[in-house]
Amino acid sequence: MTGGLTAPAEAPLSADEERLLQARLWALLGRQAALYTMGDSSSVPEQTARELAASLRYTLDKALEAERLPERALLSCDLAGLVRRGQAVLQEQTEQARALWLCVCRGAPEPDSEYRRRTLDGLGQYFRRYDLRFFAHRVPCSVDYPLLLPVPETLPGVDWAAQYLRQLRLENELQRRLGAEAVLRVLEAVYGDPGRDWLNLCEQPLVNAIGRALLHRPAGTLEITPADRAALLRVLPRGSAAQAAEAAARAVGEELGCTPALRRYLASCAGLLSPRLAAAAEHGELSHVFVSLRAAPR
Amino acid sequence: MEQDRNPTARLELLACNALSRCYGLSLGEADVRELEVCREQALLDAGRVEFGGGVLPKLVRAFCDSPFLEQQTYVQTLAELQEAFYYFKSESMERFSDDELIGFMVQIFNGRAQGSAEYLTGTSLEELCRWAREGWDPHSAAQAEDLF
Repeated sequence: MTGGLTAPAEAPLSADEERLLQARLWALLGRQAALYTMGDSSSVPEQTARELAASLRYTLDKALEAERLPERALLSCDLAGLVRRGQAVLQEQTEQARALWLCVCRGAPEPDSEYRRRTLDGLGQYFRRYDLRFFAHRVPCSVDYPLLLPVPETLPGVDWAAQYLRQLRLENELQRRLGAEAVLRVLEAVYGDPGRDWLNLCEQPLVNAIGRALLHRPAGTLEITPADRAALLRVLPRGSAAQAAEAAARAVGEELGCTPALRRYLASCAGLLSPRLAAAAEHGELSHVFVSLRAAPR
Repeated sequence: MEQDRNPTARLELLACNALSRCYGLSLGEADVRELEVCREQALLDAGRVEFGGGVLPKLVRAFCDSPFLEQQTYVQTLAELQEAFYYFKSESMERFSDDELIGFMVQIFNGRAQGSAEYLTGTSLEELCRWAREGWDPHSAAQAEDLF
């Protein structure tokens, strides 16, 4: 997309054009299947055919997007050439995503989690095995570490991996800014003894930081005492927990000096927290939302 | 996924008559159309998608010199062989090329199955591969097993 301008809507394909497009794509798929089987087989399992088709479509879309061509171009242009150009775009994007992966691996803050480590290992394997020639649309299959905001499942291939890594980098930045000691104490309060098999490392620390922001306090130790929870029940406006949570998330972002991208991310995360917060506030019980830390070891 | 009924495939199959006629076998236009319908059903049953002309020309070329093929049952046998081929192809998890698999089928059809396509289709993939590798001696009672 260019500078937020919206391209004029393309006229839909006529029935004849649709048939022509299907025939051209079918021929392209046949050629791709022959390459895949290296001429050994005239047929492939239906599932393989579907995957080859999805990969081709994704690759063609990459080329159309890079060259700013309309969908209609598929009716007349050299499809094999377009696939090659789409593969070149994908190759470049894969290299960028791999560089981002390296950056995230090197910058993963403490405390670490087994799930995050395993996920980053899995993503490394994904980049090593990524087959942009035949299965470009495939997404990593071993992602155990859940992010605060899920990556849309509609994103195919390396787009999904890159989006996951961009979000993980933001979450790592948040974790770093909240401070290792404070994050560790919150995680120990949630998960018990430190076993490092923590799921998301930022979720509860961020929730506590938002709680403290609602009380106009800095994130600091991230502590929320029972007295704080009682105070939160008083300050949480009835029926507008969402706005309050978002405002608090913005305050956390400002206080921690977060980048604009991270601030936007925090606002979206607060949007997810608000239904939980509203329901808990309505029942007058916030202990499952804002956790108290264990006493610090002497 | 919808497949085009391919006129080129039809012509390719009809062109095989030049070879099969040497063995007293040929296909007419109606036979080819019937085999096309059987092919679509066999592919559907095996959960496969095929591009180009299909496997029938290869089957005709591989089987036409079989002493067990007769003109009266030629179309039906080809349909059964085609069905068996796609079934074995799926069963083999793509481990064999078309030519390898057809080679196995020819050996069993002309040997142990004694021209029975039904016997061939009732054979498991493991048996097919094993028997094709072992070969078949019609004079060996030990190898006759369930046939006699």
